[in-house]
Amino acid sequence: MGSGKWKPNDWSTYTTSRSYSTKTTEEIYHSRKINKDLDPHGVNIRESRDSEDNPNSNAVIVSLDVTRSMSPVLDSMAREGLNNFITNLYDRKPILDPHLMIMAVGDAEMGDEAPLQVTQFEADIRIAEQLEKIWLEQRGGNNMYESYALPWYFASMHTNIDCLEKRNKKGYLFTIGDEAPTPYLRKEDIKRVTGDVIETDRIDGEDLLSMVSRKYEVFHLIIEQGNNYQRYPNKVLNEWFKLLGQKAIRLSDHKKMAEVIVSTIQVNEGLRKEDIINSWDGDTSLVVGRALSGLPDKFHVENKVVRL
Amino acid sequence: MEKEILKILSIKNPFILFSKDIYIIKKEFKNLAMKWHPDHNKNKKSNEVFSHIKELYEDAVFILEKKNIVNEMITVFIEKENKINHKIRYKRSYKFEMGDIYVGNTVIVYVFDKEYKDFFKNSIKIISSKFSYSSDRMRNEISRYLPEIIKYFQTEDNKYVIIIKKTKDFFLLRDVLSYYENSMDPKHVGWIISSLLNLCCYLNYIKMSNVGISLDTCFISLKYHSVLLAGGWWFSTGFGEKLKGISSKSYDYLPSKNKINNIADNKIDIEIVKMIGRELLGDIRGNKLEKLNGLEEFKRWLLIPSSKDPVKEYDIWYNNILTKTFGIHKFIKIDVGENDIYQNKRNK
Repeated sequence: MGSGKWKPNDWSTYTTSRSYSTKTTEEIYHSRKINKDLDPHGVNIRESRDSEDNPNSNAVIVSLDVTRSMSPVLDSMAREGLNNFITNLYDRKPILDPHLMIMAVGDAEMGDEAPLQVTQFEADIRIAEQLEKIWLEQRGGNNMYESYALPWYFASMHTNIDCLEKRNKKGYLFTIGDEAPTPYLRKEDIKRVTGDVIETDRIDGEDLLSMVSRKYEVFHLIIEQGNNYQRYPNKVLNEWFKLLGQKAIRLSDHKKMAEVIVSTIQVNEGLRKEDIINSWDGDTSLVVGRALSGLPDKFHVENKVVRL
Repeated sequence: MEKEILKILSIKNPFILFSKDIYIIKKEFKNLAMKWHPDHNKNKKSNEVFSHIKELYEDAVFILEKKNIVNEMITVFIEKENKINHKIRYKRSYKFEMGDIYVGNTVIVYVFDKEYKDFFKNSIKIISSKFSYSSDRMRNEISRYLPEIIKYFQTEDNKYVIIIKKTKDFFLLRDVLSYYENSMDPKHVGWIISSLLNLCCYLNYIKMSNVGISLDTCFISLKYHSVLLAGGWWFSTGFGEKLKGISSKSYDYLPSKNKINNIADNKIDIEIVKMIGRELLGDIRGNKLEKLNGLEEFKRWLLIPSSKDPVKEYDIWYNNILTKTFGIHKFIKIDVGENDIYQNKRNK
């Protein structure tokens, strides 16, 4: 998948025709069970392929938390976040021909019916159509974490991306949420969600990160406005920093998520942080500045020996 | 006379003194011998000059006679401390992350650039003193897959050289992969993984991560289906100690935990073995692993991170993956020899 190009007019027409401005979040996301198009169970491969419209495709996965406390993020994504995100990617061009996949994450361990939902990789308005199909299950539980590692598993085992296969360039994967990282995925949850049978009883979170890092540049945005973060900020921050190091990014305003993701990609593609922060206006530059503060300038391995 | 003596003694390349024709050089040598043999020349340095000429002559004959079989080259390293020349006959030479490798029939030479002196010293320390065995049986079984140093020294141009012993049947894994056009048959990859995992179990026994297992440090015997882990020891670190370094290529596949804490453990080498498994199948990132279509257990094993215990991992590999994929263990004869590997003459 991944033909066509994003046009802001398409977005405007699409949201107007669906009267997004007068709808509640639940009315926009109207599914009341998992839509079969987004069900990862039994999916062999989701592909991001070059096309005439997108000859240098770059895969980008954004994984949203759809547990109870994260509805405002989904709401913002549907109203303006998605358009902001893709428009800024096109305008700023940190990567060419983006192919976007959206995932929705719940909590497999606490028995969510749809702890993972997965769109196709798309380059045009079709991604908005699929975003709308996401079921806001809004469950989760008291285990202090969500299944953020399910996107890592799915992306590493069930996606093929031309940017990597043809140009040896990794895709991007962003998870977003306010809880701590998933410590492990259980064998039974992997089987229930994807249909895959693994040899071991579980896969640890850090191992899943290693797996997915072969194909994707992995980041996590910690939503500081989230209820769970507000209650346990140290636990959430410490665990994410321990796992992802500087690639765990603090997001102080979820409405600026799109701008922070685009800025993160810009840093990773080698642009100077200072220039990126200054390129945004007012509040956005403050949020982006805070988010990027810990992120290292692009780590170039020029030398063939990495001294540790 | 003195000028001529100095000039001859400074020659390293035999073809500065001799023609590149096997029939002509015999006559050339005879003429030079008549002039410089101590029986005919009373200069006090004639013996030294004659020995040098004889050595150059033998090198020239060796190269000219062999070139139609397998091209062989010569390089010379001069020891800084005592000016001794070490002449190395080699078939292949490559760059590795710290310098150069020379692969001969009976030796492997790793040459470290001067900024990697600490890694050179670590190699010597590990190979000379860290290999231990619980019994003679274990020693007999394992030591043949571990390096034996013939000589190590600093060169006149401040490089650091380790010369390691090898037998003729061992080929650099990079050369073997190249022979198979960068994608080997899963059956062969299977036994290479088995051998490497076996070495991981030994490394677990001595509580050490090699960290440098790669196409440039592994030598495989197609005849005996075994792997000699000749290099990588420069990065080797005891479990629980701070990692010294890693090649930029392997760094990408280092477990996330180790990237953050920089501590050596028993999982690093297993993950690198899986990386090599994927690389031998032509897909280091495991993006598609098309060669393993239909061999799903094998594919999944290569993609999913390992357990923390190499012995358990070997057990899973052998019983759940290898046997399920290829049936009961059997020796698959590979009819590939030195000429095939070094001349890349593959029967297609």
